[in-house]
Amino acid sequence: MPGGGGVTRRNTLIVATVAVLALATTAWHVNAAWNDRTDAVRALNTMRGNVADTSARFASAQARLRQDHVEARRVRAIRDAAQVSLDLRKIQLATLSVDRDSTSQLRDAKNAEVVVVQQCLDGAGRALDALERHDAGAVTAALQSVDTACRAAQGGEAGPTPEYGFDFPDPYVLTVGTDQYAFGTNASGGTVQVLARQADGSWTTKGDALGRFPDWAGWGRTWAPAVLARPGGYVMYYTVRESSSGRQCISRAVSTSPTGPYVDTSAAPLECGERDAIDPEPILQADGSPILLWVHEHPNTIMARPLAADGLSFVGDSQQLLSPTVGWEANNVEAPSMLVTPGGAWLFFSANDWNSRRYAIGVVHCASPMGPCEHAGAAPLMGSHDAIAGPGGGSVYQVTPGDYRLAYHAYREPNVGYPASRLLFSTKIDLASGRPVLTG
Amino acid sequence: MLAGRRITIAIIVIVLTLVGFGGWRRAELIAERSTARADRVAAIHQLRRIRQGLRTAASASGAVESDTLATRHASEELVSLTEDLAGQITLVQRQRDDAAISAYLAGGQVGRLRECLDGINRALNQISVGDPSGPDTLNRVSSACRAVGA
Repeated sequence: MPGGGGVTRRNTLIVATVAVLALATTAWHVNAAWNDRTDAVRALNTMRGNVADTSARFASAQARLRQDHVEARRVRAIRDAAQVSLDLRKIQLATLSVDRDSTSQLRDAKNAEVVVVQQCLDGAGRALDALERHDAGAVTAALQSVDTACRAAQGGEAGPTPEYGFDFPDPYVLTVGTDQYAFGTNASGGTVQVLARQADGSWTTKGDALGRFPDWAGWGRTWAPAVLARPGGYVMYYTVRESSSGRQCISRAVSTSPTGPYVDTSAAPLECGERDAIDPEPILQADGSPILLWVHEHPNTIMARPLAADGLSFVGDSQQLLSPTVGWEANNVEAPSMLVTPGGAWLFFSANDWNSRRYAIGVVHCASPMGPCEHAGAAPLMGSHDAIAGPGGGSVYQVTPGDYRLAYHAYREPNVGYPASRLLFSTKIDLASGRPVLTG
Repeated sequence: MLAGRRITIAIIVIVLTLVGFGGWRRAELIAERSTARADRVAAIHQLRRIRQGLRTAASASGAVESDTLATRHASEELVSLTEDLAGQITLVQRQRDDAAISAYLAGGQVGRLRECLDGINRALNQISVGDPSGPDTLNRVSSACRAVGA
């Protein structure tokens, strides 16, 4: 069996060899797989380390971003607060600037007022000195020198500015072509004051229009002059005291110039009535014939009577136009004036106490300048308003055809009542509604 | 002979066992390597995302800082303007106060002038119509007239 033993050894050797090769191959593969796995795990760990580092940096960056946002909000809040503060300062500055400007305007206005009132005062003082010396020319010169200043000085914040700065009661305006003259009751400007309208619309005094008193009259109560233009001259009607009786009567004086001097050579009054006759005003009827309006006093009644063509005497009978009938008149009507229209006439008058805020202007319609006239309404056409107190003495005049105005006097608050000045104003008469409306 | 066969069979069994274990172990290692590679790929994606976030955060932070700086400058400028305005306000206040004092003083002077003028006008009206009260009227405003030098 030596041969059998050799085969066995050979087989065993082959098996052993195959076994060794198989084991070696297996070991090599396992080793290679181990190495690959180890490399992969190392790379993974490296990558995880990178991830961890980067994550930490990211977290840090996020934290910083949050801090930046917080800081940004804080800085924005500071900026917003600064903006609010700036806006508030701007508002404060704007408000203060407006306040400063208005205060500066007030100061400038006050300073200008000081200058104006001072100028007026200087002129009034000179006029007073001249009046005490009975120097009529110097009085007129002094008043003329401060016409503008005193007109401005008599103005104020409320209501219209007067057209003349001194006492000028019962105004009457005469239009001669394009010229205008105003006549007023006795005051510092003269026994019969006369003003002339200047190119700029203001008035300047021309002194005393009455050149000669009638022998029967006394000085000191010369009221409500009014002038009628006649061919060849002018006739002035005025109220004056009759020395012998003490009554107030109406007389007339003539002149070739509208500003005078008017000369009264009458031997007796034109009209006295039983007690007093005041406030004459000549009116031209539609046919051009003149009539005279005036007031019989105690009780007061507004009268009308035709005048001769030369205006120096009456013709025909007198008519009663208006007596007081309503409460606001307080039993007194006076200062008549008339606006003649194709359909009749509007009779303007004053009523109540001339020396008070209750004095007012009314109007009634008349069928003709000689009447009859309706009764007064329940309220005046113009009463005290704004700074205008006790308006009255109204007189209608025409600037151009159809352009009617009403000149009137009024106290200016707070100086109401004699011896305060009654100042000259005028307002437009609007007839568009069918009744007179005062518009300015 | 029988012993040799047994040894051979034993060797074969042992070798087959070892080879089988080696194959199992190799398969396991390959699986672990695959897992590790997959995890690494995932980590790479994660890293990319984080880096993107980091860049975004850095950029946002820079923008916010820049904006904050601009805001701070604007704020300082506003404060400066406010201080300028405060100076102007002080000036305008002083001008207003000066004007108010001047207006007050002028108003007082106007009052005295008007009182004097009113008295003189009243006296003019009285004297011009022969009213003997004119001198009394002047006396009543003499102090006002003296105060304004009239």
